[in-house]
Amino acid sequence: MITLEGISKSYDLGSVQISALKGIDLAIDRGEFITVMGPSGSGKSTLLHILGILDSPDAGTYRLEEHDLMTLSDKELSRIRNQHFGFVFQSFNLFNEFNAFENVMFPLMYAGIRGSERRERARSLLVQVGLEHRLYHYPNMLSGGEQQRVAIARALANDPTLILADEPTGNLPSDKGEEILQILDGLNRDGVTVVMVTHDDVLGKRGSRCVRLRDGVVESDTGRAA
Amino acid sequence: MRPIDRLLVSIRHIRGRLVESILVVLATAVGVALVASMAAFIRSYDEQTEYLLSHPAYRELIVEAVGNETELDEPAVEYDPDTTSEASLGYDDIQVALENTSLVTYGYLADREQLSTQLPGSGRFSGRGMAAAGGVALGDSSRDPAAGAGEAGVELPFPPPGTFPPPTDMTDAAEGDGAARGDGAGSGGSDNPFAAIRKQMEDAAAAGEEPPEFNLDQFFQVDDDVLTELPLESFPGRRVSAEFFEAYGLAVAEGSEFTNEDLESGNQVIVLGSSLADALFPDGDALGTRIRLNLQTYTVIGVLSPTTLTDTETDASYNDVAYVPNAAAQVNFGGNVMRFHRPAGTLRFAVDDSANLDLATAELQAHFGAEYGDGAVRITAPLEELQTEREKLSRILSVVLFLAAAGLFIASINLFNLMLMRVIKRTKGIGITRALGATRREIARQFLNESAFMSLTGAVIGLAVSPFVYRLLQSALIAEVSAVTLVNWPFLLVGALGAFLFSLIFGVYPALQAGRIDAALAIRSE
Ligand SMILES: Nc1ncnc2c1ncn2[C@@H]1O[C@H](COP(=O)(O)OP(=O)(O)OP(=O)(O)O)[C@@H](O)[C@H]1O
Ligand SMILES: [Mg+2]
Repeated sequence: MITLEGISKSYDLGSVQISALKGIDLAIDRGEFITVMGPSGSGKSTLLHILGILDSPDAGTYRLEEHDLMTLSDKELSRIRNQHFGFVFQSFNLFNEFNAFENVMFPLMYAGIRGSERRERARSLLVQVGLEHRLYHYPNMLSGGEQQRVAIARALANDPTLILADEPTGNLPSDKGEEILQILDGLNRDGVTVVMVTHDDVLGKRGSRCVRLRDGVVESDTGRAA
Repeated sequence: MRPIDRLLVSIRHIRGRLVESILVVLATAVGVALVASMAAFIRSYDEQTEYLLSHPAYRELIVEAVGNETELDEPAVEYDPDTTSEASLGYDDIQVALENTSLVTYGYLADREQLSTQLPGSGRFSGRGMAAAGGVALGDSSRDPAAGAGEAGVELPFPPPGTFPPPTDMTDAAEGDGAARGDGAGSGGSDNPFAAIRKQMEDAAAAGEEPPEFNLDQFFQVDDDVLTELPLESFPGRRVSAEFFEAYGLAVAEGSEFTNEDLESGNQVIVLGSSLADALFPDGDALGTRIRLNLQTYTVIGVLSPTTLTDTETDASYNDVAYVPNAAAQVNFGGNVMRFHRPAGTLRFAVDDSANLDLATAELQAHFGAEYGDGAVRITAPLEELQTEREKLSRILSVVLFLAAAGLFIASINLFNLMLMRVIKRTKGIGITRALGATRREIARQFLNESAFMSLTGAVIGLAVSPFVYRLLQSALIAEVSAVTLVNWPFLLVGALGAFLFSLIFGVYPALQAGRIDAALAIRSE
């Protein structure tokens, strides 16, 4: 589904240049559950952002199915993010001015879905993550686990093919983290590809494949070995 | 994203920062109201200037005898043309002046005078009051022969009977020629009623008693068909010569204007403005009616067609004015018809094209100089005064407009700052919306929508209050000029729209900044 070749990314801090990624090659197949591990600063988040085309690499190619993403416009890339990708973050990143229901509606608004269809869809997504009793709660009235479930519902709004999760359980106690992982597992069983960054060795083994980064390069990849 | 969704999201964000938003909206409203009302005001002012420049009164040259103004405060009864004035100007001078000049097209008399159905002093004169009233009333009417009309309810166009001895140029109508068309009655009473009153007053003074009171009604009798009561007690009048109608483009709708023969033969006739005729004679039976005004009896001979002209000094519509011949007053006093002359004092000339005013002034100056000696008459052009006044006011208006624009500018900068602050505060949120599928363009639009919503709210509030600001400006700025009265709605709208667009521009930069934010960086930010 995705092919990365020679992806590098460096940040220019004036006097020093920080190379976050140094020539990453990575192929992701449909239906995989990839965990990305590695020490802090090894480039996991940077890789995830590049996968989610929130960031663009300095060098290398990114192919999604048959498209070379480097050649697409902002509008086309935004549409891909909206329709095919779902993001889940460590710090939930809900919109505090909007309640759970409205948060879930945002990707649907960008997709141009309107009226009752949009409301039905948002409601069923929240039901799907077990929050039918928290529809009109604002983020600050929700627990961390509930917030992350709203975030997942929002990520799923347009039936994505790829979920990109950056330490989704990092801010949660282990039992709540387990709930989140159950949801992601379930999605993966339904055919959604998942890429999840984690620091937790136990969780790292839950995927079908584990990619380890160190200093911006792939240190090991169980998928390749297997 | 659909516009309605964008708007709803905007409103939620604005609600999230309500106090700042309200302050910015109010500041914008103030700026918009100031700019809109100034725009409308300046437009009205320009229109008024244009109107005034096209007004016949500003193609006029006013000729007054130097010396006349020296005794203006003294009662006219003491007026003696032989000793107090170098030049004694009269109707005849107009004809001669017109013959001797080439650029001057019209010459006429047109003095203002309030006309009233009432008797002086509400019908009663005490002996003491008579002398006083005579002096005061006359002082008033002669203080400014050009303006003429005082605000007092009653003003006498001639020395009232309270002044003794009777004016030297008073003649008995019985001896004079040309019996008045308006009054053919009672002449020839040989005993002069003045003499009797005077005798009584002198007797009382000699005896050290209070002077007796006289009821004026007994002296001012009118024929049965003469109206002494009208729906209006008092209204503005102009004592004119026939050319006035032509120079001001006034035409009769009914009856006829009076001619200079009427003037010369002392016919007491009156021509009414259209609205005045309707007000005085709602039944439309004005023509031929005889009415008593300022103790004289006038016959209505004409009603004018409506005109858009207004008096440049009093702002009264010429439709509300009555026109009478600028001739001797004829009063039936105690059965004697008496004529009272008042020196014309002010001659008016007019040119076709106000560009010729300077040359025409020189011509008139030369003519009157040759006639009466250099410096005997003073010639003034109302246009010149108008231009000086307007120039001064235009400068004030530019300053106020500048301040209004500065107000709007400051309000817009506040909007700019607020929006920029919001972009910075919502950096992370912008990153997330990018992750959810918003394009850069969509994000810029969202912010522009928010600022536009505030600008628009401010503009609507500003437009709503701008008529009041307009009135405020009007009363503050136009105290000394005949007022710009109407609120100019089209320009109020245009001004508000312009101010709104101006304020809108200040939301563009923050919105573009929002669109430029790097998504990955934004998501990492706190
Ligand atoms: N915007 C940036 N400017 C400068 N340096 C950056 C920027 N973003 C990331 N980096 C640097 O790039 C490197 C990789 O960062 P990244 O966030 O991908 O690491 P990570 O593996 O996700 O770490 P962690 O486990 O702590 O989240 C780090 O050294 C980081 O300091
Ligand atoms: Mg990270």
